[in-house]
Amino acid sequence: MPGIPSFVRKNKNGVTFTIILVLCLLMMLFSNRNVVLQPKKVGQSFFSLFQLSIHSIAGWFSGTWNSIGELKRLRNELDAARERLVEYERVSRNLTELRRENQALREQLGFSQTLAFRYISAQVIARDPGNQFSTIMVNRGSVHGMRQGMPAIAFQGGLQGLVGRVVVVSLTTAIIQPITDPNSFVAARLQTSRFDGLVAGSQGVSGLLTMSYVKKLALNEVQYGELVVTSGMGQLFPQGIHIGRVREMTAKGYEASLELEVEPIVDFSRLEYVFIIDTEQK
Amino acid sequence: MSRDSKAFLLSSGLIALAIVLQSTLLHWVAVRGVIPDLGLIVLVFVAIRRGSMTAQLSGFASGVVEDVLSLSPLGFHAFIRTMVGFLYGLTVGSIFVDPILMPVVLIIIATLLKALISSLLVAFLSIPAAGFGVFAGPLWIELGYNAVLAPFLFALLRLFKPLKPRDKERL
Repeated sequence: MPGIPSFVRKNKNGVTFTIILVLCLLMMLFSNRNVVLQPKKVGQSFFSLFQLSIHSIAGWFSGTWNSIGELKRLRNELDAARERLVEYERVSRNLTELRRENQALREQLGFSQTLAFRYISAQVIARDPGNQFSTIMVNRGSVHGMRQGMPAIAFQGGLQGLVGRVVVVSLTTAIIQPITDPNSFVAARLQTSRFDGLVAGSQGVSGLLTMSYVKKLALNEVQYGELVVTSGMGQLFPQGIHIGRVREMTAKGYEASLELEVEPIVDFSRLEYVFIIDTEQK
Repeated sequence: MSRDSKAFLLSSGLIALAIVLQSTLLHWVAVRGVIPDLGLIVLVFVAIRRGSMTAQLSGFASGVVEDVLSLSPLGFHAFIRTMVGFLYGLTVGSIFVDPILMPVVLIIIATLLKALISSLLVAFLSIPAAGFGVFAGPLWIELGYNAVLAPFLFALLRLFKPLKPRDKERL
């Protein structure tokens, strides 16, 4: 029967095209970000080697180039630092006294010891190759103790801000899903007015977050610029990490809850280093 | 090794390299956070020179690489790049590509086509992507960026022997 083989031979291009498209669609349909981890892990481990190499080479060149100017700047800074050292020596004597006083006050107020988690510090080595997704890749993997689901934070502007959580871990690298990703959800609380809600990334390129399910009652109490922190519910993220500040409030007449627009604490375009929190080890 | 296999391996490698560069170095020269799509430019070049078969296979292979390095679902970029490679490959031997104007026109259309296909995929498969809609601002930045780079990249890619068109398709 010459039917099918001769048809395939005649329409080689079209048949290959159809097979590949069907394969792509099947991969998309049967994959969500959890079940595709294995093939992604293998591929990521391989290609991250190239990313790491390019990142290191580029870092070496820019480092050498910058080091000349850096040397001059460092000399000036050294002089300034010497002067400041004298000042700090005086301050440190007062600091010891203040620490003792602070400890005593904490005990009096009955505060429990602040939880201190073990951190893994990591450097951002790559981002998404396109403009539609918001991948952050860091240079720490399973060999460094990274596990899927670990929260990532960063220090910017004197505040500790939530970056996201680890979603894919290979041997030496890991992918972080930032809180601005539309698929990211964080149980949150308004720091001053204490109303709970759910913070999610928004569709679009604004980089802003949306806090929903906030009781309408909060409309009179929430202030613009109020800090939003993690509530600790759901146990994915530890309690009290800063997420962002309230920028806009929307109260729709037909809805029972408020929707708040939140500007993240972390400026993701300037993100260089992150700290991965190991919530299982204190 | 046949010339087609060589072309496939070389083009897949070049697109994969472009994607790795996009995820690392190109973020330093991003305009308002938007980076150019060098992989797309290479894919279009391969398609109009070598035809649908090489282009769709290279598009698929490089798309899978992009999916691995991204938070996108596996198959998302592979689908888009296969589609673009196949459609552009149909024009093999029928377009005269001058050094400047045609690369720009071809890449503008390819970027719009990519945006259209990805928007349709995002909409139909409910994929949570933060990226641009069909006519949102970042698309126009990427479009301009790709258009500016296209003539230079086309000139560079002409140096690769295995990517030369077949004799019967030479214009």
